[in-house]
Amino acid sequence: MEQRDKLFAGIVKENQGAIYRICLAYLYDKSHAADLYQEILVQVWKSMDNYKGAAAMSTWIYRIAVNTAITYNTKYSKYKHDELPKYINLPEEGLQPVLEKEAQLNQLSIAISKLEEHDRLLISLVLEDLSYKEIAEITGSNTNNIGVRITRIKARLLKLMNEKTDDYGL
Amino acid sequence: MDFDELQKSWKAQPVDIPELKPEMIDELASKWTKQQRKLKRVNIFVSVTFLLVFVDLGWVYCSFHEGHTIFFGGSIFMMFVMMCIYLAMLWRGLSFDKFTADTASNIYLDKYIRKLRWQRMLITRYSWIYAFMLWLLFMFYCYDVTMKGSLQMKLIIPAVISIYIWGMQLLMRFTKKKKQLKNIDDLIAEMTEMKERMDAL
Repeated sequence: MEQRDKLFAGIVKENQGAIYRICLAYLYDKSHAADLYQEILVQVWKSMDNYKGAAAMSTWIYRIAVNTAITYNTKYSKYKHDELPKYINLPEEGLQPVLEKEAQLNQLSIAISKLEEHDRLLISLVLEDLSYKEIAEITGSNTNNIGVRITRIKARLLKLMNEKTDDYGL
Repeated sequence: MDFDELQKSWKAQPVDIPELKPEMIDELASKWTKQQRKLKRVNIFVSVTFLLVFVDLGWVYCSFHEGHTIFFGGSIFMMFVMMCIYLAMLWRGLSFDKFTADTASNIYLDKYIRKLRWQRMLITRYSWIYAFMLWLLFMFYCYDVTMKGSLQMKLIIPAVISIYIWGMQLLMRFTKKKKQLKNIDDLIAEMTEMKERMDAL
């Protein structure tokens, strides 16, 4: 295996979960997320020669993922992140905790889908546990302002989650 | 329910993607190499074609200009100018394709918007300039070749050519190009909104 292939495999292995979750935050439908994921891999491959180490490797990867997601979402408006239905099949009372977790994840996906596109982008990075500084480096925004914005998005997300929980009587 | 709990739940979700195998990397690499090779071939083809046309234009002018009026030279010159402008547009357009997705999002969006505005300009302005130059080229040539013809000929030939060039231009502008423009405008609006939100942070 060539050096470039090895490096690429290493980058993908280390970041595939994060990349895929960013796709999910943008496009709920998993089949579209898989397409977007593939597109991100192509962009990573294309950009590998440009990586000079000026930014951390993770920042570099997230930039590619976020930018590709923005372009993909805009170009293919038919794959736009549709708001999910208010009611979904939830596990019946007394079912296993695993199913409850799944329900919570579904609720979270619904709540994310209710956020505006730009906020979904930011929250997908926050959910990956990135610092405000890293998010600012990825989006090219101001670190201080991003903190304020993210606090608001988090509050909105929690509110949406609580509304859902109330709706379902959980 | 707190945010940390949500975060844990989000990160713990199953990742439903196939494991990256060497064959997949090979496929990706081969696609990329093919794409690069194709791009190189197209560039070489366009460069050689233009060189040949320029040489031909020079040869036609040098060989035939003596038996013709200044309008013959004018039409050759217009063709030369048209091709130079076309080449400049082609290279400018190609430079937009060079940017990669590994820059900060606001810079990336800015470049993308500029690329879209460039495409818009090609449809709204350049296509009219191109049509005008083409029309002028034919008018010069018609004037030169019909100089010794009847008045009827002097009027009908340019009229038919004019109707064809401007008719086609108008038809394209209000059918195919109208759709293209709408798509571009929608993309610009969406990308600009996204960028403004990023800049506002």
